[in-house]
Amino acid sequence: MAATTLNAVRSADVGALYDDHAHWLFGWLRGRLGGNNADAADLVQDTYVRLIDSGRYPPPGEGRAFLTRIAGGLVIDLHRRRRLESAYLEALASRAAPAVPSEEERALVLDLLVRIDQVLDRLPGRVSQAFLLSRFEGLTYAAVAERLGVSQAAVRKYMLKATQACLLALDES
Amino acid sequence: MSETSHSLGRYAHRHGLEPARLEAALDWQVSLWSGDPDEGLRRDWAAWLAAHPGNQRAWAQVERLAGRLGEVPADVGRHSLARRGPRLGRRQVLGALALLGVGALTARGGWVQRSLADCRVGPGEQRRLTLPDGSGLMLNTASAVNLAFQGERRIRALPGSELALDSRGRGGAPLRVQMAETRLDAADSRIVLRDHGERLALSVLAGRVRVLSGPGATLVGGEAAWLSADGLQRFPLDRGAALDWTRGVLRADRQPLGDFLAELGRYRHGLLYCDDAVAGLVVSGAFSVRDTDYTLESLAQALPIAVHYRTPWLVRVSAA
Repeated sequence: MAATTLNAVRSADVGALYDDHAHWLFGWLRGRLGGNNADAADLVQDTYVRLIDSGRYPPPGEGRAFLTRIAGGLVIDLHRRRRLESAYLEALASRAAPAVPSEEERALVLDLLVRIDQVLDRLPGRVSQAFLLSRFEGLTYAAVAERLGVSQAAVRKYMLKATQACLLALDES
Repeated sequence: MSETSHSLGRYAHRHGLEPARLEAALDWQVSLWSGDPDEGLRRDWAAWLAAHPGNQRAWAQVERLAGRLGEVPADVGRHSLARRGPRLGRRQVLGALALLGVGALTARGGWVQRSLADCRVGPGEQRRLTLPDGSGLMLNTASAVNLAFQGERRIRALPGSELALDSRGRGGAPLRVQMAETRLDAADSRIVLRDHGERLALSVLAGRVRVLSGPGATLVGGEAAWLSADGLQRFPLDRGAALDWTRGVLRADRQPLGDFLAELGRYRHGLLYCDDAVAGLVVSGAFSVRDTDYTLESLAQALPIAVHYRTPWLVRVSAA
């Protein structure tokens, strides 16, 4: 797909893409979401919204390949969100004195978790580990260095890289 | 690394900051997080901060990030983020995408161009064609093929297509059919082939078909198989089921409503779906694919469901 040129999106084109592929895409997503219709329907809509937002339009004959690439990413994100949500609720439930955050606060934290998780996924393993140990385990760089078997200078470098990545990723909205 | 600093430069620009000051601010933050109580460090940081308003603006941005990270309670962060799935390397990610069918579809792109002849039917349409050699080809809803009949005799089907091919009594070399990664030769035969995404369903109603891709195999009339990258898996041929669509019929035999609507939706523009609460209702009967609104109406009479036309392209089926 590298050599493919993408054209600006026109609403008529999106309409045609929707007509031609929305239902096929629904079946495709449904198969990847354990037959869950509501999730599949949501992600079909999200896929087209993403397409419109991207301002890029697939060349003739590649509509389905293009849409499934977007939709595949959304499936991964949905699984990520579900996994984090259940871990989040577990963490809340296992607190000695359970304080129940408001719906709004939970949504906010979950959204942050999703973004941070996405960032960590894109970073090398040691970089994300160092970041987690420092920020959420509360270890000093000396302790992180010992845990990972690297120098403190390396930990500092990992932290710089992870923090930069977070800064960029948490920028939008 | 240079890509990151490039992005950082753009980020700085977007926020009206000087890239060098932003980098310095990040550096300070990372130093202050080290956990070593170091008064000298704090003093140096305070001096840097006081030295220039640009430093203060850059710091405000980094401080905002630190604040947001702090919004995740430590126990929550530990519990949810630390238990991330096994990390995927790039190669594994590509593999996972291929499993999702993305790679396969991408690899299949680009066929439409430079074809000698294209035939395409939209959702809800079907078409019968006679090929140059006299074979009969029928396309089901939302399908497309490229035909090459100069020198070679070849049919290429686009992703998601379904076709019925009848080359009985035509003699000559077999017709080469290509769908997804599968190539097959159909000689003097009648077949139905459908692309389900990760795999194809091949029904041989008469004659003989040689599957050329994968480990290769020969199927004769009365046989059927799933074809995929994993090989070939035979299943009992149901002649009626394979040919129903060629007669404009969609038949359900104790089928969950969700699955039935997924099939029916192939014959409509836009999106047809149902709530999970009704997805398990059982549907039986023969329905028309040529008037899907009528089919939905008959379903609503037979089952405790309601059909909502949000727009003509977005139809939701819920509990009545």
